[in-house]
Amino acid sequence: MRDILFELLQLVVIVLVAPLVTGFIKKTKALLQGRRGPRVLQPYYDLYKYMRKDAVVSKASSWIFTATPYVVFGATLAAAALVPVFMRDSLFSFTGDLVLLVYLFALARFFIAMAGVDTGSSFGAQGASREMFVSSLAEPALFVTLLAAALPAGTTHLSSIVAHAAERGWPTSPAFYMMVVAFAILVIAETGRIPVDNPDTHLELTMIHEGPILEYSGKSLALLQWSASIKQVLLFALLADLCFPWGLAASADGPAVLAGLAVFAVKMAAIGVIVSCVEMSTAKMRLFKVPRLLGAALVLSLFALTAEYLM
Amino acid sequence: MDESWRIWEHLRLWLPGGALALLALGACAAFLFSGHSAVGRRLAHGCSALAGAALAASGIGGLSGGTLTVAHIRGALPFTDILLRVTEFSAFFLLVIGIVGLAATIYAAGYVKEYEGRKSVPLLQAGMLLFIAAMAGVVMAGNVFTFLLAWEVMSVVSYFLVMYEHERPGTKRAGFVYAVMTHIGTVFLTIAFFILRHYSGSFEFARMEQASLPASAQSLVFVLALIGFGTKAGLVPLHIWLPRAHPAAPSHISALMSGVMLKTAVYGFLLFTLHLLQPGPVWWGVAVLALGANTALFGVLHALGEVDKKRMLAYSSIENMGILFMGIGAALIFLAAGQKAAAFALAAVLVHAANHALFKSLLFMGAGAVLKAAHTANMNRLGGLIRRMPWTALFMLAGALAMAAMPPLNGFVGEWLLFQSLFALGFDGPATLLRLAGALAVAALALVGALAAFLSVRLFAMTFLALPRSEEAREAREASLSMRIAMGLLAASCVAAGVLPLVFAGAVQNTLERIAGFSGASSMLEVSPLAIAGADSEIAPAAAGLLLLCGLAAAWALARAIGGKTRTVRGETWNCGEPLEPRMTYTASGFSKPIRVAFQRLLLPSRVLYVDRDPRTPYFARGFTYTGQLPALVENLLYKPAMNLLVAGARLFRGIRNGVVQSYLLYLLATLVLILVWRIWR
Amino acid sequence: MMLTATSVILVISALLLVWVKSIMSSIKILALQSLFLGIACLALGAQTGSAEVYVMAVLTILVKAILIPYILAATMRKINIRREAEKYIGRGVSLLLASGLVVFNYVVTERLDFMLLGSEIQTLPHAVSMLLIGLFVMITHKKAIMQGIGLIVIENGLFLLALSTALGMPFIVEIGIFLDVLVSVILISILSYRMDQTFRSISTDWLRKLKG
Repeated sequence: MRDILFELLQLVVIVLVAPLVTGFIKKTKALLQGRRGPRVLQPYYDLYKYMRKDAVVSKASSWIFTATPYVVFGATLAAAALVPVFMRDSLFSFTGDLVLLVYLFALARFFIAMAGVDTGSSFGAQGASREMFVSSLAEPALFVTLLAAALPAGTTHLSSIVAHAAERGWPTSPAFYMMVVAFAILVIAETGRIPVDNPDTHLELTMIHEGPILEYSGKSLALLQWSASIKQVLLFALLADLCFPWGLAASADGPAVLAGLAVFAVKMAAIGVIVSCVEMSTAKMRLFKVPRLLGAALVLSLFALTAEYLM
Repeated sequence: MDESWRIWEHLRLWLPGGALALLALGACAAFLFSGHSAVGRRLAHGCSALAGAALAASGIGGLSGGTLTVAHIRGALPFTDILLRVTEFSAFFLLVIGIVGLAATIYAAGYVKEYEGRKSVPLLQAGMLLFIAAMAGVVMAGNVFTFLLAWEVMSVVSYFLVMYEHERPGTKRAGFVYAVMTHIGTVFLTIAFFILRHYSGSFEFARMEQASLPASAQSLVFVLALIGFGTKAGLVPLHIWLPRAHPAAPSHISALMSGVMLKTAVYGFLLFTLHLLQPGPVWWGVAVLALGANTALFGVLHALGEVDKKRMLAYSSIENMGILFMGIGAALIFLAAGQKAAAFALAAVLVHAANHALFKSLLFMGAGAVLKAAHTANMNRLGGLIRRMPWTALFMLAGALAMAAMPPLNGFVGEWLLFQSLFALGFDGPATLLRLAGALAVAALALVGALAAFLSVRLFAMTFLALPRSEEAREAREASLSMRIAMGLLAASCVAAGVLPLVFAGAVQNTLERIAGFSGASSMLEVSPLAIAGADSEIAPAAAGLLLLCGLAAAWALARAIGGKTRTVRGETWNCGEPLEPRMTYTASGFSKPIRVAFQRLLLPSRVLYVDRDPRTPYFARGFTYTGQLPALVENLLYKPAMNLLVAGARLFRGIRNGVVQSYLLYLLATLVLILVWRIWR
Repeated sequence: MMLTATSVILVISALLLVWVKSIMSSIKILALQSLFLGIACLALGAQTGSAEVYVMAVLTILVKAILIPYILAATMRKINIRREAEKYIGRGVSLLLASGLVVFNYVVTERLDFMLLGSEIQTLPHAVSMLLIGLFVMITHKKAIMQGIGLIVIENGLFLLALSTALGMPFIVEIGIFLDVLVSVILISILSYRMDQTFRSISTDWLRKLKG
């Protein structure tokens, strides 16, 4: 019973903490750029503001447009139920494994892309087209990286991988680091950060994720922003789980859980800082150069895998 | 209990034969009543629907084990008999044929109305019935000649069905290419069968299973079977008929061809490699895996370059066949190494084959409905149909989601199983190189899957969303009731097969023991009503679906709780202040442009931009004409040179017949002299 | 013995056919050849006393020695131009080639093992030589009438062969062959006449376009 409660708590924590992570990254970027930047809790205020506003819906759009934010949030929530955060097991780990996780994200993306086209504007369709394009190139690299991460455990079941990985010590093989770098590149691609996409602007040349949601307002926009934050946190958590899985609570007792929470916070902060530094130091890539970046990630993960096979 | 069991046993025996008889009856009825169109039509459709249900039921019945001999007509042909039997393996395919056949029949009831008065509808129906019967015959065949007979009937009848709308441009060529390619395949198959017969001494499959061949003969038969069935399945480079033939046929026939006929090729290939041949070397599996990956990638990339919906779906079928063959390749590798994971891979192939049959048929039917309503299949001229055809749109959405392998629909189940088999190859492959091959296969499958999702979005969004791009799209009307019922049936089964994987995966479990050929096979896959487990991992699609619904509800509840009640106002789409025009929406070609650019080394797209300038000044243009297309690479690089070589050689030979009588006599004399010389040399 | 002597004469006459230039001469040689063949057949009939052989001899003389040459000559008179037999290769070379064929034939027949006894074996090579020469004549001449003559020579060779080895072929076959040959010659005459009407020439070069 306690297990179930704590595992449910994982889900709640992710959902609640997600905007905080986004705010933290924004603040870090600002500080690194020498600005004061918005307050760390700003995303929460934004969400609240959006929720309370009326919505304007395009005449050209259909029920797909209105349904999309709910489907996206639902899919992201379902994905969140699969990922271990501060405990080794998640409540719904029997529901699916890494493949289901990736495809739940794909489901969300599917609907966002459709919504982008639904409004009839070119911005939305362009963003949708680019979103599907980047993700289709990221998926092979993602799967190979996941294969490399899952190889020691011999299964794609998340909880098993985490449990297995937590038992071993700090890995010293170059294969591991190649895998981490590949995964990091993919996380950046999937969360839509520089150099793949710029999450802060609304110019047509720099929106991949922002394009389809340009027409949204009110509650729908709030749900979509929130989903994006949750997805980001999930990907960071996945990175942490697969590469640095220590500190996760193995059982549901208070101190272990608290320790797990604290470790989680530290990991998120660390990843956030690294992401901010990366965003600071590079510029957004031209769209047709992105395949090269993702190809590099694929090659890195293949190398990592080969190295693991040969050992 | 005993009584009902006996009745069931009797039914099991008679259902398949009964179904075939019904189909034949329906075909005859269609011909006989061709004058009174309504009566004939209803009779034919009734027979077909019943037969479809019967086939499905016989499929279920056959799954419960044992080989049933349905019909053994001795001496039907001068040197052989006709043998029809139902094994667990064929039962699975019968189930698929039955379901899709039933749906196609219901759909056809409404679809053929547009041909009335113009063409002979009874011919079309008779053709469809014979087609279904032939496909059922292929999977029920127990010896070589029955198989070849059914195979040929299937090919010939489908040729005529493809040529049904022969007045449309391009149909005749499509039929011609189809006929040539399918017969090339049949030749290879016949040779393979005869080699097997040579070593086993019998034409019956049961005897052939027990014969053993020398390794070189086995490999030869394998290659011949691969080419023969690969032609039918549409493996690259033998696929050139698929993108022409499937769009040319009437939509319910395309559904049958894409959904079921391609699966008979999978059935045939598995029959050869699992039953008629002993387990072979590893390179078999690697070759099939590579071919499958190649085909899948080729198929999906070319699908993204098409704007004709039916051609796009045809290329997508090529892609899915490629994926299936990747699974078969993995299974063959495991079999060669004697690993049990082979059973899991085979299960993946069969489940995905069945699921593909369902959603591809659904998509073709939807395309047919749109074609009928808007009179065009060109996606650049469609759009906004979701308001005019809401039900069709809903069912097509289900089909598109299934094609993209989105949870919790059935496409995801098959895709997950395939992923797991390839992961198993990557984790536990027999050799390091093979494990690496598994990893590459995973990358390929992931790429293809993501591009398929892209394809799905493009298909649905360009056809149904945004504003209508042409007059016909504006005037489109919803599809007729029977078409909607058929599509709804398939859409519901897609959802059901996704949420309750028991439907197909459970069916497969029964057959695994028999087809994998080793004991303990069925334990590789554990299926419970709501979950599938195997290869050290599991999914519960029902739970995932439930989670999704809960998430949806949570979203609504949260939004309400945090923000209170808000209004929604209808406004204009933001377009930099300009009013929104249909021309501003993205076209299908534009939507997939990034892919064409990223993969241009593989696709070699051509584009011509013609600028019509104002003659008075070069700075203003009056119009732009853009023509872009993807060349048919395989045809240009492989088939055209081969044909030119053939024609040149024939032209060389034609010089012999020069019209001079004396030269012909000279040939005679020369032959005579040569014979005499030869005679004395001996 | 008589048959062997006749066969030698026949081969020589066939070779002569290759040598001569004018068509009328060829027709005359053909008539003589058939006449000799008929006489030899008569002698054989006298030797064996078979009625069939008598009938065949009479038929040979009537049809091949008299009727057919008459038809051919009549055609030639109607056509009235160019009485020369045009050939593809010169008369010297063609005679050489024809002789070569005969020699080749002798060599071959030498090597072959036939279950024949006695004198038949000596006429065999002659008969086959006639066949080959007849074919050769058909190949090397351009004018249609010469094709007919070549056909008759072939037929003579076959008749000789059948006569020497088996006292002629079954009666009905022989009748059939006679009929065939007769009809062929009539056809060739008609064809030549029509060709002359159309092309003002009976050279088969004009028929080259008939290749479909």
